[in-house]
Formats: sequence, structure tokens, C-alpha cells
Amino acid sequence: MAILEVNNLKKIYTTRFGGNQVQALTNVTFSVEKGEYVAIMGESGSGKTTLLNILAALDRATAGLVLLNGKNLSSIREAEVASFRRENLGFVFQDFNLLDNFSLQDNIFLPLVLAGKKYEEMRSRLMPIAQKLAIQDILNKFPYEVSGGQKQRAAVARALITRPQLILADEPTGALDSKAAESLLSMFQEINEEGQTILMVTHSVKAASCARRVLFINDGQVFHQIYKGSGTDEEMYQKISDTLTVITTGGKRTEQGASVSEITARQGRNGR
Amino acid sequence: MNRFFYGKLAIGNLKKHLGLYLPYVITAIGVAAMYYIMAAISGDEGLEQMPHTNDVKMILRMGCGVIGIFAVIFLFYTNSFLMKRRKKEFGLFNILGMEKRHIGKMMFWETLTVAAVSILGGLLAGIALNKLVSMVLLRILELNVPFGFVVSLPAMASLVVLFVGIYGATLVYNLLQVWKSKPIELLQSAHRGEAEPRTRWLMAIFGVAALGIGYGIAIWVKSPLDALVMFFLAVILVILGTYCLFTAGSVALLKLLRKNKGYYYRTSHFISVSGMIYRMKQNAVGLANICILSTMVLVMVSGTLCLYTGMEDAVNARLPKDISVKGRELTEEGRAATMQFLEQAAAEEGLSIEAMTEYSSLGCAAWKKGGKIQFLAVSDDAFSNTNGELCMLEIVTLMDYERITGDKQDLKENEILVYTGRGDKDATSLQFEDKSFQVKSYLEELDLEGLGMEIAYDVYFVVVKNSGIQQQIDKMQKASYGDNASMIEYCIYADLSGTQEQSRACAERIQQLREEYNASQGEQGALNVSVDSKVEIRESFLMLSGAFLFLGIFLGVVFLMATVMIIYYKQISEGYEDKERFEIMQKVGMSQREVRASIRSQILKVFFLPLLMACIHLIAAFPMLNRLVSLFGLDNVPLFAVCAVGTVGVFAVIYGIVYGITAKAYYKIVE
Repeated sequence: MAILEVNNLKKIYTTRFGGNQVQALTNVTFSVEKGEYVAIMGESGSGKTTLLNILAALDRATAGLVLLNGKNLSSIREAEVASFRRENLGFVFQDFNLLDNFSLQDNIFLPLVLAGKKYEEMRSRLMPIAQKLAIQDILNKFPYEVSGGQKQRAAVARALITRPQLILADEPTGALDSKAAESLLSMFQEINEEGQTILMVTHSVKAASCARRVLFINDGQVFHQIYKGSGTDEEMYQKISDTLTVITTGGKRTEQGASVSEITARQGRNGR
Repeated sequence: MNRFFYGKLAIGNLKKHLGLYLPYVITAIGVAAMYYIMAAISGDEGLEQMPHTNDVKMILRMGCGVIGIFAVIFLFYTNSFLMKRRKKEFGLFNILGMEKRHIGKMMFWETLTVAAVSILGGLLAGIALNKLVSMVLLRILELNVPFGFVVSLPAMASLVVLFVGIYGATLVYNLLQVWKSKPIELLQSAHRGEAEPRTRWLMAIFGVAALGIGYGIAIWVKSPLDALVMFFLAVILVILGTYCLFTAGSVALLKLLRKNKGYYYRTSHFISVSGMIYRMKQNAVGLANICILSTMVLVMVSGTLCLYTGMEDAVNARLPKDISVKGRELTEEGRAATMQFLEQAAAEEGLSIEAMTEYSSLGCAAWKKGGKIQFLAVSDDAFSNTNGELCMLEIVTLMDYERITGDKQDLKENEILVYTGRGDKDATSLQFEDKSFQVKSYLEELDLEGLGMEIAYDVYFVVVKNSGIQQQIDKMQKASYGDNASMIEYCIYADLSGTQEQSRACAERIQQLREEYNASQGEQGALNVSVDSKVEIRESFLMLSGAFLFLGIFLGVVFLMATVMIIYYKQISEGYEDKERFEIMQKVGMSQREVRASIRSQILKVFFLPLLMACIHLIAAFPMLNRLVSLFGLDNVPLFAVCAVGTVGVFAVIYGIVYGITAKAYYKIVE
């Protein structure tokens, strides 16, 4: 069953002064099944962030449909958006978005406190997650006292603690060094293997190669997708690199055989 | 490069930051105008020519000093806030290739512009408002001599010197700040991850203790004279205590709240408690400033208002009748002559004497412990508690007593009658040195007008059998006090028919008659006689209390202005800091409404805490203020209470309005 369905999504921004219109999303259609780990790749300005904001109910689409677990996002009333987001979505951001005035533990508790949960329940939910993410010893530290990797793991814990339908990650490795990035990515894989659905937006080929499926967005539409299938991360890395090369060099390579449609055809066989 | 480049850049910068600089400049203009007005009025020549205005001038000059000191502190405080907001911009300029000396030049022009605008604006506003304020002062003082429209050059000069000095100092301070820091630091200084403040238990405990002792002094020091001395100690303790409590106490309390899991982990508390811990570090001093300024406004305005409105009471306590004539150490003839002065003067002015009282009394200070009365020279360690309390004795003879009251009493040589308002009525006998007197009875009331309810001390009226005993006691006190000893006074109190002017003329005529008489008598028979008229006493009291009221309101306005400004800047700076935090919280699943609610609860707590604390200070200070006011002869607790409540009410309304306006500015930034 698809946990997330995106149909013909369109988003047009109107600049503040006058009628200059910018089309951020032209026509985006895709779906995410329960338990999937999907990465969305694209250049700066390709519409990734807009897409993520709409999926997160932080922004509204101009046209098209987003169904999360069968529920239409645009049908949710303004007053309920926050609690809907809190109950169904978990967020991991590039710059962590931890609050300086809370200890890591309190940062992780934040969504639960907003939901009005009791301390004992929050504590019992936190312990297994903290152990899995290896942050149980630094829970009482403050964000400015720990490393970037530790901060991001705390942010992941904050996303997981509400037991969300879907985790939305926006460039989660963007501000991390390579070692921390690697360990975060392997944690994402572990979490995903335990059944958590993850949707990650990223620039990084390395990060995307950990996902089981990669969607490419260009000029506001889904341009292409690759499935990992039974391949390894390294094979996936190669495939993504190839695709990116095709995308950046445009039609030139098409004549030499490695056309986009060909790639699609080949990967279509591997995937579904 | 164009030589006007930096000037233009500076003005451009100021325009860009109008929201930050406008309130700063307006307040600076306000403070400058206030300073000019105070300096101009206190140096006014018209005021000098009027009677009884020495006190007024002294009080105004004091006020001028207070505003000067205040201007220094205030402009520095605001400047540091502005610098904090602009450091990032300076860093950017630096990185874009501007050298520090160029930034320095730019800052110089900026400061020069701000200084020129504030000084000129202050001068113009001051000169324009001077007339109005003088009129208010004259109205309070019930004077109607017009000052005319004058421009005071000395006041202008002192304003320019003071403000140029202050702005020069802020410029130097700002330059040093930029000089010391690296560009990258400047760039990031706006949001450096600040560590959570540590709990400073020692400081918190010290704060509580200082506040407790300060309050204790205010509440338990009974004697008004002690109150005067202790008042400053109490004020200093309370100020210290307030600072410590706001900086350390608040953090300690909030952290205790955070330890309480059941309380802390609830939506409304969770965000506001942690937010307040975090912001207390930067804001505690600002909040303490607001609290102390508010307290000062409340104390000053309510106290002076009470003095002013209760003036008639105070004047009556000093002199219940229209005129008093007092002669010291008079013989029979002397008394007769004194009486003659009054009668002649009244007759010459065409006034009739009404309700006259005359008697002889020995009024002197003494230390009373139970039934033991001691006369102790001040040079001894007389003030130690072993000697009991300082009190005033008024010793009158039975004959005078009976004549005045019409109450017939039988007294033996060693018996006395005692009347006291609030002194103790337990002693069954009073012992003067080696002479002991049985208290025959304590009188229910004693209508000896003019004995003057001296409120500063307990007063005991002692009726003795005859003037022989009065003189015995007189000798005792003379032996102890030497040159400072009191004398037996012959007092006449009377009401006069006619206007105030006539009674003033009458008093002056009595002085003349006395001088003529003394001249004719030679040194031997000269009379030591003084005259007081209610008109004069009222006038001098009016000058004093009126000047205090004026100063109270004036400084009240200045402090209020500062309070408003501090609040405004606090809101703005917090707005910028909180913006990010609330964005994050919204991303994590907090609704717009929850954000608003939590902002409101947090601001309300932070905002009204200083006002609440100021009210508590006022309540604690109330008994002591009352005693201080009583030094002016005014003992009217309900009146003072009404003044205090009224002042708090008006202040709270203004505070609330300021809150409303600044909260709006805050929301606009955050959302």
C-alpha cells in the first residue's frame, strides 16, 4: 500500500511585486510504499525544497494532490495542520534545527510535549531510540556542547520518537563530516530495515546511494528514477553517477547510446 | 574617494536602521530637553528673587544632577544594544574590503549625526518646553511671577558639554569593540550559541538576604530619624538584592521548576521555562533596571504627591493658629511686653485677636527608659539603646494647664499629670535625675495647641505643680546640655481676623516692635522673641513640597521614558532571537496558535515581573516612607496609601500601553 501518493503536483510562486511568476514544480507524480527508503536528487533550484515543504504541509500546492496514508493534505484545516504534522511526519534537517535552550533530551521530547504526553511515557519511548542512536550518554548535554554528528543523531531521535508514518530528511548529511555522514546513513538504513519509511532529499551521491530508490527531479518534474534492487551501495553509486552525467550533459550522450530512455528501460527490468 | 563618502554612508546606514535609531534619538532628545529645562529653571534669576526659593533651587539642582548621571547610564545602555545588532553589518563591511579605520570613520560620522540631531533637537525641544514646564512649576508653587521667555546660555553650554562627552565616550567604546574583534567574530556575533547560565546559588542567597534585610529595615525601623539614616542603607540593599535576584535568583528558581518533571513537561511551561532560563542571562540586568526605575518612579511620585496634597495637615501640625509669638527666658515684664507687641501690631493692622492661648513651657529632649528620664549630652554615646529612647518633653505648670483647659486638678509637689499621644503610658512614676514624681494620671487629651505634635519623636506633656518645679527641671537639663540646652518659652498662639496678607503684615510689625523695644532697652533688657505666621510657614512648606512634587513628576517622566525604551529594545532584540526558535518549533509541529500562546505567556511573565517586583518593593517601603513623610509633619497613612495606589494605577496603565505597543512590534518580527 502506498503511504505517500503525489499526483500532478504543481506549484507556482508569484513574486511579491507584480505578476512575475515562477514555476517551481511543473508536474510531479510519484508514490512511496510503506517501508521504502527513497532519495530525491536534483540540482539547486530544481524544486526539491518546494516539494519537501509541500509534503511537510509547510506550504500548499497550486494544483495537484498529495495523499499521506490516504489523507489529502490540502483538505486538512489550518488549525489541525500542526498536530497532523506532529503525529504523522518526522523531520531531519540539514542544520539540525535543535533549540539551543533545550538539552538534547528536551529537544527530542519537544514534539511529545506539544502532544501532551506524560514524562514517564516520553522517557520509556526515548530509551530504546537513544540506545540505537548511541546518544544515551549525552542526553543531558546541550546542542552547543556536542558534535555535529551527535546533534544530527539527536534530531533523528526527535523525528523517530513520535513514531511517524514517514520521515522527511532534508540534506541530512549536508553539514556533517564524512565520517559522521557515513554513520548517519548507516543508521538510516538500519531504521529503514526495521520498517520505517524514509524520504530523503539530497545532493550527495553518497547519501542517495544508500537509499533503495532514487528519484531525479529537474526543472520541476520527476525526470527519472533508479531502483537499487538487490545491488550493493557501490553499484547504486555508479548508477546514480551515470544518470547525473546524462542529465548534466543533456542530449549529447543520447546519440552515443546511453540514452535516458535506455537507462530507464534497463533499470525498469531490475526494479519492479 | 569622495570626501563625503563616509558621511553619506553613515546617513544611509542610519536611515536603513531607522527602526533601531529613531527611538534612541527620540529618547536622547527627550533626556537632553529634560536636562536643559532642569538646568535652566534651577539657574533662573526670576526664581531667585522670590522668597523661600532656596530649597527649590537646591532640589532642582539635585534633579539636574540626577538627570545628568541618568543620561550617561541610559545612553550607554542603549548604545550597547545598538552595537550588538549592528556588529554583523560591520563584519560584512570588513569582509567586503573596508578597513577598520574606514569603519571607524563611518562610525564617527554616524555618531556625529546622531549627536548633532539629539543635541539640537534637545535644545530646541528644551527651549520650547521650558516655558510650559516653568508654568507647571509656578502653578505647583502657587507663584504667579512670570519668568518670561528666556534662553539660558549656561544651561545650553552644560547640555552641549555633557552630551558631547557622552557621545564621545560611546564612540570610543564602540571603536574599541570593533578594533578588538576579528571580522569573522563580528559576522557571527549576532548568534553565537550561548551557554545556559549556571546557577549561582551564593548570589541568589545573597540577593534574598539583602532584600530581606532591606525590607526588614523598612518595616521595623520605628523612629523617623533613624529611618532617614537607614533609608539609604535599605535602598542600597534592595537595589543590590534586586540585581542579584533577577540575575541569579530567577535562574535558580527556573531550574528548580525544570527539575519538577510533572510541571516542566507541559506545553505551556516547557517552552516558557526553558526560554526564560535562556534569556535571563542577557535580560536579567535589563529587567532589574526596569524594576528599579519603576520603583523609583512609584516611590518618588507617590511620596511627593502625598507631601503636596497633605500640605495643609503638615502646616497645621506645625502651627495650628494663624500666628505664634515665642519668647525665651522672659521675666514678668518681658511677657507683658511680648503680649503688648501682638496686641499693638494687630490693632495697627485693624485685626482682632481670636482664640488666643498663652503659657510657659519647657520643651527639651530627653532619653526615656521606662520611668527613668535622663538628660544626656550628645557627645556621650547617648544613642546607645541602654539609655532608652529619645523623646521630647514639654513641661508646663498646673496653673497654665488649668487656665487653658479649664480642668481643675489637684497636684502635690511630687505629683505630675502626663499626656502622650503614642508614647508609652505604663510608668507609674517618672524620675528626673534624683527627683522622682508620681504620675497622678495620664490625661485623656490635652488641648494645648501649638505644643505641636512633633511626629519625629514620642512627645510627653508633663504638667507639674508650679513654676518652681519647672525651673528645677530646667536646671537639670541646662547642666547636662550646656550651650545646647533648651529654654523655658513663653508662647502665645492666636488666630487673627483678616486676610493672609494682613496676618503676614502683622507678623512683620511684631518683629519691628520687638526691635524697637530691644533698641530702647539696651542689652540687659533685650527680649529673645520670635514670630511665626501660618502664611509664612505654609509658603516655605509649599516651596519645599512643591519643588519635591515637581522633581518627583519630572524624574518620574524621565525614568518612565527610560523604562519604555528599555522595554522596547528588549522586545525588539528578543524578537530577532526568538524568530528562529519559533520557526524551528513550527517545523517540529507547533501550530501558529500554540506559538502565539506560548509567546504571550512568556512575554507576559517577563514583562510584568519587574512591575510586580516594583509594587512589592513599594509595599515593603511603605512604612518607612510614611515615617519619612512624617518628618515633614505629615502623619496621614490613608492619604499616603491613596497616593501610592493612585500612582501605581496610573503607572500600570502606562506600562500596559507600552506593553501593547512593543508586543505588537515583537509579533511583527517573530511572524
